[in-house]
Amino acid sequence: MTFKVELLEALGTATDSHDIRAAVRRCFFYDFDGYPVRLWHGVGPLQAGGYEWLGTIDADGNDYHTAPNVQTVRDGTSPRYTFGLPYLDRTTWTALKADQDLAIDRAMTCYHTIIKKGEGLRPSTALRFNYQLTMKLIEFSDSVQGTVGNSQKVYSASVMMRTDEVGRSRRPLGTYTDTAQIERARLLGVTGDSFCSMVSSNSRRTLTIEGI
Amino acid sequence: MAYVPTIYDWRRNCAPIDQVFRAGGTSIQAGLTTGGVSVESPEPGGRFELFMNFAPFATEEANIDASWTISRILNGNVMRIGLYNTVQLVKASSITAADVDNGIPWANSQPWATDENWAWGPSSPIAAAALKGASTFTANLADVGEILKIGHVIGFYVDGFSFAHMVMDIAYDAADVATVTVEPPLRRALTTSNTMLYRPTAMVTCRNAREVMSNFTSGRHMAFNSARFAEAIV
Repeated sequence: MTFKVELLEALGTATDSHDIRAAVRRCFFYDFDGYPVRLWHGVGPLQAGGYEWLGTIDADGNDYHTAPNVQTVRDGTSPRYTFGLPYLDRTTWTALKADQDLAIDRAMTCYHTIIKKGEGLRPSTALRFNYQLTMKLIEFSDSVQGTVGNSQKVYSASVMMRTDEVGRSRRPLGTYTDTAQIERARLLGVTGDSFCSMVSSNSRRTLTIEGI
Repeated sequence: MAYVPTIYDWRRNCAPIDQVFRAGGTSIQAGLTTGGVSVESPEPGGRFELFMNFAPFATEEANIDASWTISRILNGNVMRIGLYNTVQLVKASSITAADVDNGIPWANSQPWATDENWAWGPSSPIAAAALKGASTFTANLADVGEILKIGHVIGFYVDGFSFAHMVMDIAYDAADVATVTVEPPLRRALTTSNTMLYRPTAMVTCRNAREVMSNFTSGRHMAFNSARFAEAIV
């Protein structure tokens, strides 16, 4: 059954919040090139959608993953969201820092998972797409935390993300010359673009059309 | 991105005087009630906890072991604690008629030089494969009978790691094959070549190590305060 069907069934005829026996949690997929990171807002490894998601809540109830609430973008704005990825493993951290192309302009997708009673950490319902953001900037830090005698080396990253509305208000600027047009075409993989080839010869030219 | 921590064995010298195993689960506070309701909730998974209390350590070996242990747990290391023989484990007398409560000696009835016997490790075979993350599995208890009940703690040894689980629900069929519901959910996939252990071992980290370390002064005995451990998920 789909997520929606399961959720409606779980809500069902419940008249009180205690009657609802389903948990809905968010799963976050950071699609770093070659270093996929899958996290979910819970405890322990979750098996869902064919992948394993690592729970970000520790034994004392602290959530190590910073995920801001995402707001609607119906007004066309593209808010900045900063997600925190503390306690990255060092291999991923080093690779991402060395080559930020592995992260920049890659997608971060948030899914919903519904876990019914008795399913443990293995929900049978398919994940439901929630939202997708594009990673625009990633900042790294490594620090030593704690006190003397109880210090930890922590590798962390914070990822700035935008929705796909980013840049919509920007005017598409371009110079109307043959050289610029050919270069724009080349960036898009097109050769021999002649759209502007007559622009220069037509400039400052007066065309007289008979009969008007 | 898996990170495999070093896991240390809990020193047998540092035996507790009592030990309680509690299955995981997180609660959601109240809701619209008259207050105070904080029940088992839809929060999935969770971790188990282990509570231990200690008497002051008497022998020199025990004190040295305690000294080593306190450094290990203060540094957040994963400890592998063989659960002590509390009422939460299936009684030895219901599995075998032999006297095995203190382990099994060598053939000449002698213990090891440390005065410890061989550990006694009874088990039952897994009846059908179970997937990682599932909360139920089946075990074949035909050899021992219906000895496993809700509230017992059982365990597994898979991939070199030890896992302990609380039996939350159990149903036997006519051939004494038990369908067991456990908390927390299975941390590894089980196959029929695995066995269900009646003397489980838990992998934990100490959550209150600063409080555990209480008194260790020159020439005196070391004493541990009550310790709270939480499951280390590897």
